[in-house]
Amino acid sequence: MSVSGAEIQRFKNQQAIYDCLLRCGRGIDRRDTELIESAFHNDATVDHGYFTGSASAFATFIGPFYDSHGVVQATHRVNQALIEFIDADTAHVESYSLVFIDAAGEGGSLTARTIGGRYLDRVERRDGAWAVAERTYVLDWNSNVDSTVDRDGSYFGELARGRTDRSDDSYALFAGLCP
Amino acid sequence: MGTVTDTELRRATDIQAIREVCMRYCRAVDRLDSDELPNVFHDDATVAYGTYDGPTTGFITNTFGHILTMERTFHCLGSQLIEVDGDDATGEIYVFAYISETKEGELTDTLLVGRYLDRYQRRDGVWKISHRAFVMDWNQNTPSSAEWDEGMYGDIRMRGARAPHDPLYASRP
Repeated sequence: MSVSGAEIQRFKNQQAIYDCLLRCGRGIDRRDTELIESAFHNDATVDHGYFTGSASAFATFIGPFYDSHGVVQATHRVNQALIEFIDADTAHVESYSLVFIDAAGEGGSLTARTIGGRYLDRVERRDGAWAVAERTYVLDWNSNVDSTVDRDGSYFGELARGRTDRSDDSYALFAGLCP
Repeated sequence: MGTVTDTELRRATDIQAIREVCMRYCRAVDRLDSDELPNVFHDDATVAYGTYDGPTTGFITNTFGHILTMERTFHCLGSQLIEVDGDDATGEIYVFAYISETKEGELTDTLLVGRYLDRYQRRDGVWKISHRAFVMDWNQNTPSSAEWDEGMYGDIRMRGARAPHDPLYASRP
């Protein structure tokens, strides 16, 4: 049974859409506003509850917002994404998100937050490029406990560290490959 | 590097189609959305969950019934290793399930980590699960530490819910 051109196109579209979701998560973690914006169309809107507005405003909002809540480290893990095409250039996407955060509080406390939620996106292909046109975040659960993070003990002190800017090791790896 | 053969393309699109079935399963159980089940299981499919072993005609009564005793669930997929052989396929699907439930009078966060061991079949051109077993690898149970109305979370208006109340359904055409 040979694969039709439509099936190949669908497969390619799915990969391109999933890449958008990954770029946004990576952009938030590395505080890279251009990378966040690259996941969205110019006129895209974002509704996270604590932020409602344009995607470009969100890209510059999220870093200071995290700072205001003591976030010293964030990891956005993108998991399954169910993509349902509405027409050739539009799809609805439901993607599962896991976020791991260390947040500093009063008196030197550090809280480990684990947050499960979903992005409900409308993605569109314009001029051949897929990007998010409308995003809503849904909170499903969260866990908040005193951090037991160990950054210097045991073997942890020997491990390379993620950074919240472009000095992160991933930028050297992807240099020239990512938008 | 040569061109991609039809066999290679078929394998890639088959694996993608099967992964979609696994994603729909998560939507079905997290939203308790019985409308998704016919997209997930063949009519004569079976499950071996320990909590329920039998035909999926009993899935709503048994598995949905069990999940209904829980406050909320979140089935998050990880590695999905799928091997395709014609119209048959097998898969090992890692799942990380967050469950909020009351145990001995206390609201508890359960993290249940395990794998689905699946058999899939393509019938009339459509891949679905013909048999799904669940294997538990790890779990953790702690008093709930959820926060809903404070700090970072207080302004997030959209909250996960079961069908038809989840925001997912409001965005459907």
